[in-house]
Amino acid sequence: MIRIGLNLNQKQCEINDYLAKTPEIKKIKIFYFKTPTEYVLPGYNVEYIEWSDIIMYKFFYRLLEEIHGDTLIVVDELMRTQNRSDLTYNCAHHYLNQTPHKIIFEYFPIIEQKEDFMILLNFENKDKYKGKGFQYEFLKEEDIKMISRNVELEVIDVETTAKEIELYEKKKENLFANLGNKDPDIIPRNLQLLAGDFKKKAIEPDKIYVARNKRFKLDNVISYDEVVSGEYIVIDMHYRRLNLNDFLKKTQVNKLRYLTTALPIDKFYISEFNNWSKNLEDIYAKASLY
Amino acid sequence: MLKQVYIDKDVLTATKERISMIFDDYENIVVSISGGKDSTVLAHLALTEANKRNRRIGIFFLDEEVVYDSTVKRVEYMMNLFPDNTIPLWFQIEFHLTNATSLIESQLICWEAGKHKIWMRPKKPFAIQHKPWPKEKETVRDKNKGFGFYDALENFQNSRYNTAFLIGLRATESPNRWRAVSKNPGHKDWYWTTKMKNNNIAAYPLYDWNFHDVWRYIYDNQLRYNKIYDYMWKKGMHLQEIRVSSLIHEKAFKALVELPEFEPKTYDRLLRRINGISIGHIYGKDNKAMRARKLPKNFKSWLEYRDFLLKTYPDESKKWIFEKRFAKQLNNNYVARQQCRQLILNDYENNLPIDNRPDPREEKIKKWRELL
Repeated sequence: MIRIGLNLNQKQCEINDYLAKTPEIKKIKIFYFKTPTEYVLPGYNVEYIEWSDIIMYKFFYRLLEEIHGDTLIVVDELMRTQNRSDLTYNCAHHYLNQTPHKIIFEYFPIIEQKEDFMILLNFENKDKYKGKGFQYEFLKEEDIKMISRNVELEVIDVETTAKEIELYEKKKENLFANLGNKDPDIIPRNLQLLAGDFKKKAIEPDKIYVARNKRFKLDNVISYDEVVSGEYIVIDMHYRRLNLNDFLKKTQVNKLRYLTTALPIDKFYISEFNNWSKNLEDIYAKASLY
Repeated sequence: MLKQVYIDKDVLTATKERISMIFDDYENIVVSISGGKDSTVLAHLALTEANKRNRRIGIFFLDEEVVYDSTVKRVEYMMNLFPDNTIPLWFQIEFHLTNATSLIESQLICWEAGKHKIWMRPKKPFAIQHKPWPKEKETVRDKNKGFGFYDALENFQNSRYNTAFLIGLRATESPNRWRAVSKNPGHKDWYWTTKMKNNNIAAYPLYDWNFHDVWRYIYDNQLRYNKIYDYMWKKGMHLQEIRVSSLIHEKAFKALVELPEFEPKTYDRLLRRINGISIGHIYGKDNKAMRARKLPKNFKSWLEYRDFLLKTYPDESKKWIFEKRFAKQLNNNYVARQQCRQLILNDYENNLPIDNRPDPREEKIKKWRELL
């Protein structure tokens, strides 16, 4: 079964309910990414396995031998790449194919596109969905429930001076001119850092902000790596969607507050965010919600 | 689009049935082996059936000379596993092999006459040392290259009649192999076979096996397998990198990087045998050299680098092949990078085909120009 948007307590309840219904389960394998979520599972033989370990021979063959019909596999927040044919996903499918008991937890139903939902369906039943594109009907074909985690974008305007616009244009031209053989994606990333610098004047001492790095040297501006739950105002949007999703997962906010200039780079990130948000809403609209 | 469907039968049972059907319908059976894990399993299954039926089958190995010592040991092992049921077809004949590591010695002539002092090892007394087909009937695919590996295979197969050639290809290895093993049936409704000349067929009884099925069979039957797999695994190599092949052609030269560590004696003999080996060892996985992933800093673009490589290409007799091919392709950095790789690896045969399309990087730059 696939459960979307649950917090720790809700996940624990789902596992407890499942175990109560299926007395044949003796072993539980929990696949996690980087840091395990400790569940309370007394009386069961529980093993936590880090996502990057599951492709290793020392785990692969042992797990293939150990996982049977008496095993519950918990796939805990493991949509880590948009590539459906990723080797780690493939290894996970081998384990998941060996037991009917699986619970797939994910905070958001997609990384970026609706197609990403197929990664979760592949966890549920690889044979059935292999090679298929996303269709809304699939949401009704499996045991899927979601808690809607819509995130609204609240724009906090920061005034942009003529000099800043001039500086932006100059930097942009310079980046294009000196791009050489470098990755073109460094252009928006650098321009966003510059736009972020222009937002310094709007930083208030009693609020906490998140930026791409620690360049502001202020105690109330932290980087994405340091984020824990709580409310933050975003200075630089993370350019990797997965990292931005991780930020939203950790903070569990329903409103993303974003310092915004009138520069095209901010318009671009706002539009990207809105597209993502629209994709999310479309899925929530067609899915079974709690 | 072909689709994999699970049925209520395991691959081993299905393969045993396929092999049994081949034995029923074909008098002559030849299993091709390479010393790798798949052909080891296939040969073992076929020899077990031959033993059961008290029949003899050919075990065919086309010896490329420049192979791992562990491969030679595994081939010897297979040929001696069921000696009463084996017709050893160990071919040690002269043929050309591309050498991707050297621009001055772009081809190795395996088992070249007159060079026996530097051969990787002496020929086997029981080996087939001369081409067993009539000279006038011999076919060559590419006259520029000369008589190559696939010509040797083809001529051997065409010299036989009413024979089933068993090959250990598996569909999951790559889309190309998927296609190769599941085309039109070569005999009856056996979709896992393909038709060949002289009423021969190529059969792929392991076509639906996955790599862990192969390892499971080796484990269950306590078969010996190529030591190179263990070395590669210990080295922490990626699952898809763990494979045994030749050592010098354009898709295999990367093996030279680890060769001195795995088999120092083989490396030592190879150094004496042919040019370019130490280059392959040092630069085989280097992004700026043989992988052609990063542009060397002396050049501003892949186009400039490509022009330089073409201008300084040392073998005038092959240069025109590249010039003619590149003239038909797009002139952008994306294509030029691939052309550089062909030039560096001396791939005049076009074994590493070029994805000839507009540069995705330029498209991206255009997009950022419009948006920012």
